[in-house]
Amino acid sequence: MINIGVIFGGTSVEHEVSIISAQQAIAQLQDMSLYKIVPIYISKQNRWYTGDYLLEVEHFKDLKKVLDNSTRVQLVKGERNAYLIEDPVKKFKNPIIDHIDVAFPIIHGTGGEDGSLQGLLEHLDIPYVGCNVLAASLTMDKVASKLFLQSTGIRVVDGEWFFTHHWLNYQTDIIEALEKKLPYPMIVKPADIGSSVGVAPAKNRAELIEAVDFAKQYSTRILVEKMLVGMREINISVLGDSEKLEISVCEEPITASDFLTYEDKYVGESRSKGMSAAKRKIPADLTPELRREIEQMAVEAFIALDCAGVTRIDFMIDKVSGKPFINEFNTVPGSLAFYLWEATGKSFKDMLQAMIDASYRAYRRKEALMRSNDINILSTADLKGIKK
Amino acid sequence: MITTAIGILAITLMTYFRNFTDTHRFQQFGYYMVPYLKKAVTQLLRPFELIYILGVILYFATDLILLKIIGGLLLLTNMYFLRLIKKAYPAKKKLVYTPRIRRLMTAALLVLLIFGTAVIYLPSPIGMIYALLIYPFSFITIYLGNLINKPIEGTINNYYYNDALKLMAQNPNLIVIGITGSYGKTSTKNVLYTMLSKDFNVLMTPESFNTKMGLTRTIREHLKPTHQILIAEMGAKEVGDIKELCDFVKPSYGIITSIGPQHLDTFKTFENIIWTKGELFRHLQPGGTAIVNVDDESVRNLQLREDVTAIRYSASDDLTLSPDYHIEAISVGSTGSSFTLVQTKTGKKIRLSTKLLGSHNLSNVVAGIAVALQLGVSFDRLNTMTSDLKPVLHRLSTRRVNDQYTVLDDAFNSNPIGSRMALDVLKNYPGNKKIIITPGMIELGDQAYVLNKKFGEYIAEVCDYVILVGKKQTQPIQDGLAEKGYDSRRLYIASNLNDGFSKLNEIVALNDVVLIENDLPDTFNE
Repeated sequence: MINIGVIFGGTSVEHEVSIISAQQAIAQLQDMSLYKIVPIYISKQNRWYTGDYLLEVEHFKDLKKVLDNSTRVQLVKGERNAYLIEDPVKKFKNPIIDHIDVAFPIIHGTGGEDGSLQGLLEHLDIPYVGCNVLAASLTMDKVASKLFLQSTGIRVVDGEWFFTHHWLNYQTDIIEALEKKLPYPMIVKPADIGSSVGVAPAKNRAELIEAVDFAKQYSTRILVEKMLVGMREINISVLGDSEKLEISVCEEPITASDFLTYEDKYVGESRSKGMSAAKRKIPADLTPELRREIEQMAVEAFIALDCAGVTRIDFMIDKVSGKPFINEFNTVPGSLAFYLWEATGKSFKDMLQAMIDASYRAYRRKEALMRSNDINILSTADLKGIKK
Repeated sequence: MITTAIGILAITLMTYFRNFTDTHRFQQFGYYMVPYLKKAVTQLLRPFELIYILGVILYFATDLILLKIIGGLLLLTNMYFLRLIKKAYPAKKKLVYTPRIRRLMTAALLVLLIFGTAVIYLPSPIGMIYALLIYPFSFITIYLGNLINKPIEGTINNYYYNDALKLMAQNPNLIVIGITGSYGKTSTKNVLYTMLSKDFNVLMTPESFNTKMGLTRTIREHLKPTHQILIAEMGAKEVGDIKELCDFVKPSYGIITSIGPQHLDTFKTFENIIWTKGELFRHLQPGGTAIVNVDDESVRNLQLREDVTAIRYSASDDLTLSPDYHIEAISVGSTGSSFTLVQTKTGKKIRLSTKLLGSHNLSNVVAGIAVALQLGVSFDRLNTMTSDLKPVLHRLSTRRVNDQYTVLDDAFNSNPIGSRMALDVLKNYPGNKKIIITPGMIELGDQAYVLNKKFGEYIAEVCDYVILVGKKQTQPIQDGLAEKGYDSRRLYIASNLNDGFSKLNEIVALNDVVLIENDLPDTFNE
């Protein structure tokens, strides 16, 4: 029996979405005989909890009750796994509540999709599902990933970025510089937050200022891009890692507005079913050439950024040129993009297994590396006078 | 009375000091009591230890204080010599103070103290007789200590075994692969581990942990629920050893690499060895898979149960052995070997490469391929698995020196089969002059002359220049060379290793290939 720690919730604006995505995955994992699920819920106050109470989605209607009915824990390094120890530790009581052999982070956005949780798991020295530290932080950051993909030669929309504290002092200069480089309409995005939170279009200077003021609530860095007018949005998912990967069919989200807001994605009529219930066309209506180009760009970008697990890559198709541009990465996509895989002919369970297999590969590759010297250099060194 | 008591106490301490050596030997014999005792009785006293006998007689049998003092001093001198020798010849593998050893040493001390106390209260000549006997027969206390501890050891071991089984039970999908063979099972294990680790979470028993306790320790210390494969090296010294290990870890895959006359002292007959190695195939799990090296006659002829699937592999292109997988078109070069793997039945082929050299290593690779394919790995994936295999340093590893010539370093090899294989590689290796530098093979017992001479004959066929290290000990090789009429101008007999290497520097030219073969310690240079 493999104890698989599903980590969800988190101090992210997508807290609730994460709960739904995680519960969907948990329901599947519970049917897989190989695994015992250890739910690890991170509250909005950034406290960690575990317990069977967390395995039922209905319980999350009352978040306070959730906390009362579960055990507060910390994740620490174990013998050859990671321990969940009671927090705070009580005297005269074995603090170990449970252990996990594999970690499965299903937190969208800040703290879960950006590499920081991955850093902790890296230290715990257990396999974990999804991107590694660098891949997670690169893909989470719209500025970093854009620059990285540009230098790799993968097509992305033109854009500029600046710090919000510079905006306060040099607003006019920044606007002028932006207008020189990018035509209206533009689209303004916080650099490192997902699910379209804080994103707004700007058709003119007044709207631009308004959009930046809106976006800067969410990030210290702002990305401004040329907006592709009348563009189509196409999403595709890549599963596995750079060693072994698969691609899904494409989808085309259908919405009334020009771009998908957080409310469109999650708060509409279908909020309890997560991304899987949003309106979309699967498979998207694409010419074979366009489909192939999207697939190729997706695979190239996935490998270039060293992604792992399941990633949804969102493309924009320019109406004028018909060319696809990579818009953003979701390395922990809503509902883990299982609906794309079901449409591709891969069951949710098989998809989860493929994700776990990728985590093993990453762990083995890491294990095979030489990390330290067997010889203690200090054993023969002259250490006198090192400390003055 | 007082002097006798002091004497007995001293004797007890000296004997206990000697017990450390006894225990060490017991450990070296893998805790097998009978072979240990057999060896022990052949070495009761070393020549210098006659001082001890003299010391005891002077101390116990005389009444003169002066003679008693001299006797005591002799005893001390003996201890001093014992210590000196221990320091001068440090063992290759030191005594490891495992909990078991500590328990044994405690029991031995207990035995000695009981003996000593009893003797003090017995009439006078008994003290001296005891002193004369206990020291040469010091291993007796190890025997008795072991006897006392046996029930405890059994209980402790059983606890560990059961604990290991519990851990394995938590991992019901674990695939266990058993490996045994007279030679090369460790390298087969390493090859298999590296290959399968590309696609599976693999645990293997570390360096020569091939007993039940070794397996138990591996499982208890390293097995995780996420492991998918356990590779268990299985060693055998007696009939039934492999069966016991099979009953313990329950392998569904079994690989027997080779069967040869190893450990004949404990097995008594070659038939017993074949029978014991064959236990791996006979005791596979129902519906298991036997990976059969058809290049080895004894392995090829093993009978299999009906429910066991045989996967026959061969590192040659001899199809009369009816292999399922074989290799052909082997080529050797500076980057290693490449070969074509053929699925004999379908004729499906794939070209693969590895940094390993030599037929036995390639045989291991084919064994690994057979297992991988059986586990559902695709043909396309095989080259990823093989191309990362590299030799252990000094085991047919290669290096380029100053971009001038190539060294094939096989310095850790010490057996005739390996030497022959190294020469085969040298023969096929692209380059100008083929040079060998070797002190010959040692530790071959009464076969030493014949095997070294044969080695010399084969050297004559392959090498353009020969450097032998040590005149006297390489005589059999020289005889072999002479028999083949080897040109003595292309032979150099070096007095020691440095001399050999300076000769090498003198004659080596661009793109030559130099084989460094067998152990090259500088003690063998007469």
